[in-house]
Amino acid sequence: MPELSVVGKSVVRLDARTKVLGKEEYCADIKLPGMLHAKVLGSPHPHAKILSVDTSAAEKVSGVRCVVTEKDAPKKLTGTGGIKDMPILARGVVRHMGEPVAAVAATTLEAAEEALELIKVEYKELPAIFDAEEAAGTNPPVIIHPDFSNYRVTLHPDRLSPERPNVFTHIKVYKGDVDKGFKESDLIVENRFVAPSIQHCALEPHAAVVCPEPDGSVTVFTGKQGLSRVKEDVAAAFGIEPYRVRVRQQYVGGSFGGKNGTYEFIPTLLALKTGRPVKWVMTREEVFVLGGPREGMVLTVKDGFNKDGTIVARKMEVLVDGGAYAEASPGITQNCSSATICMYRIPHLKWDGYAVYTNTPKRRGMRGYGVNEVAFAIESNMEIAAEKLGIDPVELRRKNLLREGEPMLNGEITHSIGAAECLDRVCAAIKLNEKGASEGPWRKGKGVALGNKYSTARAAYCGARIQVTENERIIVYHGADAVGQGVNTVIAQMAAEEFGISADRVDVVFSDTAITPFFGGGSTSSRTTYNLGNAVRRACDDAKRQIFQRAAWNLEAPPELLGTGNMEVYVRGHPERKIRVKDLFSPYQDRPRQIPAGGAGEGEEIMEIIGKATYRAESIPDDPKTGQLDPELAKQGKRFMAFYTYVAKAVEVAVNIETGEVKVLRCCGTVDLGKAINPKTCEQQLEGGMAMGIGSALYEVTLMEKGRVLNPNFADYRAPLAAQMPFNENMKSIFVESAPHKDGPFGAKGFSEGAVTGTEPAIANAIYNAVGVRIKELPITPEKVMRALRETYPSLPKRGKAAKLLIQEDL
Amino acid sequence: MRFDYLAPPTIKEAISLLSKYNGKAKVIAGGTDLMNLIRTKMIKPEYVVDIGHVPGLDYVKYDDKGALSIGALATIRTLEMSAQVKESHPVICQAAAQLGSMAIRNVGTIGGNLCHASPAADTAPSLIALGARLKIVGPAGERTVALENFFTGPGQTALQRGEMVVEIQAPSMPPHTRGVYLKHSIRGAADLAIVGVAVIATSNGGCCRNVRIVLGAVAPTPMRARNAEEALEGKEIDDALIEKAAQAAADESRPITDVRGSADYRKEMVKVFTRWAIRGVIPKEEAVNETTHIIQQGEK
Amino acid sequence: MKQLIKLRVNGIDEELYAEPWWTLSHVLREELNFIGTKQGCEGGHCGACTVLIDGKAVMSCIYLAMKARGKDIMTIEGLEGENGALHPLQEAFIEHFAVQCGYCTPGMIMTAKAMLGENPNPTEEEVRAGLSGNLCRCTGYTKIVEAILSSAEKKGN
Repeated sequence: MPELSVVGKSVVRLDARTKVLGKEEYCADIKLPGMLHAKVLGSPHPHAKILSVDTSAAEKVSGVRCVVTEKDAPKKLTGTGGIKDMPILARGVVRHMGEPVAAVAATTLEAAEEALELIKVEYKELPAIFDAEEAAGTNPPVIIHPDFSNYRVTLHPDRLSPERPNVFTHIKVYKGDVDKGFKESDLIVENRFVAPSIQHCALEPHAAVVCPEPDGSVTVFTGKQGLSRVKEDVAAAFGIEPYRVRVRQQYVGGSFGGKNGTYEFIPTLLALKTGRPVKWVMTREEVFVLGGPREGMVLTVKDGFNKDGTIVARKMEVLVDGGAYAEASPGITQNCSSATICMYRIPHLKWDGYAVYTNTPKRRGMRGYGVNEVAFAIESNMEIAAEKLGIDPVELRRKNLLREGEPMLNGEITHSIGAAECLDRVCAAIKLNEKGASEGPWRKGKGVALGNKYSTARAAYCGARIQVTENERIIVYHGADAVGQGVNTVIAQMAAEEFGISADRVDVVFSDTAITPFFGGGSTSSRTTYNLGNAVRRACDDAKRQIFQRAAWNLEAPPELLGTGNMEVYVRGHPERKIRVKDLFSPYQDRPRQIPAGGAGEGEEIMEIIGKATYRAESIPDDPKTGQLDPELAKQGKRFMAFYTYVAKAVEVAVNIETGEVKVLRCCGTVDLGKAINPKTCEQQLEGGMAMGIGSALYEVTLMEKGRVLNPNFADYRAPLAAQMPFNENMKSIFVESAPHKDGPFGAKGFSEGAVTGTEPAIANAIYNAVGVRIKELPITPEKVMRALRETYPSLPKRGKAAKLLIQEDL
Repeated sequence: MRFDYLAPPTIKEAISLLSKYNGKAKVIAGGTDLMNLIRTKMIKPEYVVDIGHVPGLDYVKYDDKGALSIGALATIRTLEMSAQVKESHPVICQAAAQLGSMAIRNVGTIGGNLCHASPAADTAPSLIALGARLKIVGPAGERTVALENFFTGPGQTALQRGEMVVEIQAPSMPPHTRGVYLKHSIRGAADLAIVGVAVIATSNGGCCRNVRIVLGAVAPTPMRARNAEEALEGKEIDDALIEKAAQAAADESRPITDVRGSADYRKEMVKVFTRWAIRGVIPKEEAVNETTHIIQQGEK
Repeated sequence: MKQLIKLRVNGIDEELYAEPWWTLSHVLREELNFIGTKQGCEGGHCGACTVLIDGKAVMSCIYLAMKARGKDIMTIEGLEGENGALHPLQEAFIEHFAVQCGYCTPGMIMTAKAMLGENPNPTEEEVRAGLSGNLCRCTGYTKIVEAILSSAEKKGN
């Protein structure tokens, strides 16, 4: 690999300046002339029939221009994943609290709010079901979608579960014979884990501004992940030609998966009815409910081991609470299996994942899309097993890790797995086997966990365009989403590297379906660096080809002998024979043409140099009955996922044995990312991911009671603040580049989600190390710790100071 | 969220407006609590009476006997940072420092915090323990009320029609008296208290006098833990006695289960934090920086 | 009913008609177009709306515009010096990679400015405590704290 001059450097982010100046316009900031403000009326009941809706009083409020209900809304049901089960406005029945029943557009927000209060809806409450396990039975007391068989469902029939009326997805990965495996095992370890719903908490609330254009088309300004889906969905729902729907955004104030899925329908409906731009910004309370909390999961893991620690069999069941509508839960359930099959060698596997409806708000996948919960279960179970086996837990992991070239549990051949090095380096960084000294009631402990995150190949195709300009600047056009991850800087670096220029000579035009190339799936699944990077590099090749073809004439040398750097084209080995790129362009106005002496004929006129390319990650499907890939194709190296990134996390915690509080003292993350295109932006992702992991491990939970979210605000939902995080010197980010991906740009793999993975089990393992209690339900709150301490050390509550001494002996 | 905004320039006019619009009007001082109540439609006042423009209500002053008078509009931040208060009534600074974020403390007022009457109000326990009184003015004139008797229920006070709090009075702390306010919460100052404990006691040598133990967030209003106080009053303090008092405080408390914690856990934490707080005011005990919530207190 | 009010924002007297219930953040963002002050929660919990009033950090989303009359309001836009010169805090945030999605950034910088104004040489613990009103979901705070500490060292305030 030639020496890199821009890639691999921590180039200052090109969006930082406008952001610190407060000059960036986010969707929530947009103002258009004549713009109306939208408010949405949500259901007060978790499950009810709508008997009548009377909007007459609301329509009379001064300033109100439009009130809509389902009779005004498009008839087709919608849905992000393979199941279209969700009306745009509730039709005859509401299935969760907060489900949109009506919407208002008015000249002021106050008028819209006043109108909402005057909409009279008559409901007849229906029995509701909130517990996922109860809902998943074969004979549940409430069936939430009795009409399921009439929905448009693109899931394979083998991925459905008709005998369980509320279960809408069943994913299977089967290998070998688990019963035989368990019979052969020396030790079986079975545990149940719970990872509840949490919230994305992007600082910018969900927002959209939809503008009807004079020519009958529609522009949707939004702030989300995945623009092309919005375009398709809006076009299909409203019967507009897709080319007449333009979806665009600039920088998004965070998403983390919360802004996937199409919520732009309602402002579009209002905009089309009023003929005016309509802006809808969710209140924070609405974001917590209607924006969509994360799925909750119950996971049971049963592992069988030989006494030497090799894993023989695993039986795992994952139940995903998808809320009232399917949305992305089928994909999340499917993807949970990927987190299981790519890490350890296991001869026998029975993996079943179910997604179930409940009368709670529909869910949106969150950074990790299930892998964090799976890692929590698996990596906790490994530690429990290690203790029972009498084997060091790190050794246990190392022993069972898959190696390069080995088949994964679905037959896919492992490629680019830096997990072992991640594990080694994170243990060394945290000094895993050195336990910290107690301080008063604080007992210290350390823990480690592995994790992984796949990137889906199925949606992974995208285009890129490279424009080489006369100003000696490159413009990159891409359709990915800039949600804070630094995509534009990283892409600029790659383009700069290709052209041998500095990154500050690259401009980026992004996120506009009318102008920028397609980006499949949106910036999700940690795919942007990999997919877009590859597309951009190929587009650069295409641009360079055009440049060399043109310059060949000027320099009188064949194109294959030419090179470029610093916006010059030169003949390799003869650097004195060169021409500036800008001089290749045809002059306009009065500039004289450059024709070399002797003139070997006119060259092609060039007004523009635009390179373009498409990248597609090839993949093969799995067998829906077994989750296995075709063995022949797999042996040829065909893949199911685009890539897998491996991570390890290690933490040191302090546990207060009087209050149950847990403080994270040190947090260290390693990522096998193939190549750090920009080390500092990689640190940004990893530090932010570990913070999110600390949050979900210790502080965060969507509290729900009978379908109502009890903590839909930043006061009662406790996302961590700066004081909850370790001090700077105790946050370590380590990047492992020893296992580059053969198809990644410069060997790189994405890891923005893997940045979180493994933090929760590392913390749970550290708490066990500190005080000997194993908590299997997140978040690990002080109350849970106290309860567990009481159960484990029953003599604790009775004594004061004496109790402290006892604990010192026990722990 | 529509209302009329009135900004009376004097106390007299404020009282007159509050009387006139009784029930339809709400007082706004800083607004950090009120604005959220209005936005979430917990209350729908037709008039918001801003007393923030009444001059001379934000003072912090001492008389020559060391008694403290705080104007109702003094901000929490002013109290937190006041060198005088740190010198004479350090427990008030300690409590103020644990109330919300810096931006909230810059705007929120002591009068507002007390009149909002949250059972978890951070300023209340230590002021009650100090024996603070409130000066209230209304259409019938002026009166003072012990802060201990001011709270009548969650969000409810003894204010009558047209009345407003104008001053908070705290007697001087006698010699050899120390006070501590400990707040147990998940994210520190930013969160509402799961449990709040204020302990003030005079102790010179082994015996403890004038013990006041006041609990926040574990009853409909801040409450005196009188059994716990009685357990310590006039006695030689040792570990067993501290345990007895802490247990008594836990037994007297009446917490509910809500989004911040279960009743069981809160009772247990009353015991833990009362124990620490007592240790914080008894000079002969070991150093008290054993939990993240304790701030060193100087002896008065 | 709307009333004519005068607000002094970033050193300039702005006149506008405002409803009595309008918050300062609404007026800044919607009426005066200072979109640098962000809306994150409207409850005073996330800090994205932080501005300075008479040098002190305030949550503008729970501060009535009417209360702001006669006071000196500074938004993120007021930090920029002549000819686009960046305030040392702004430079520090860029240099230390403290900006990701950028939505919390103006609030963080304004809070930091107020903090350093009162405590020019804070410890890391004090900086973290001082940020208890500012939520960030992207960064994990590490580089934000680094930027603020480095800015304090440079004593550019």
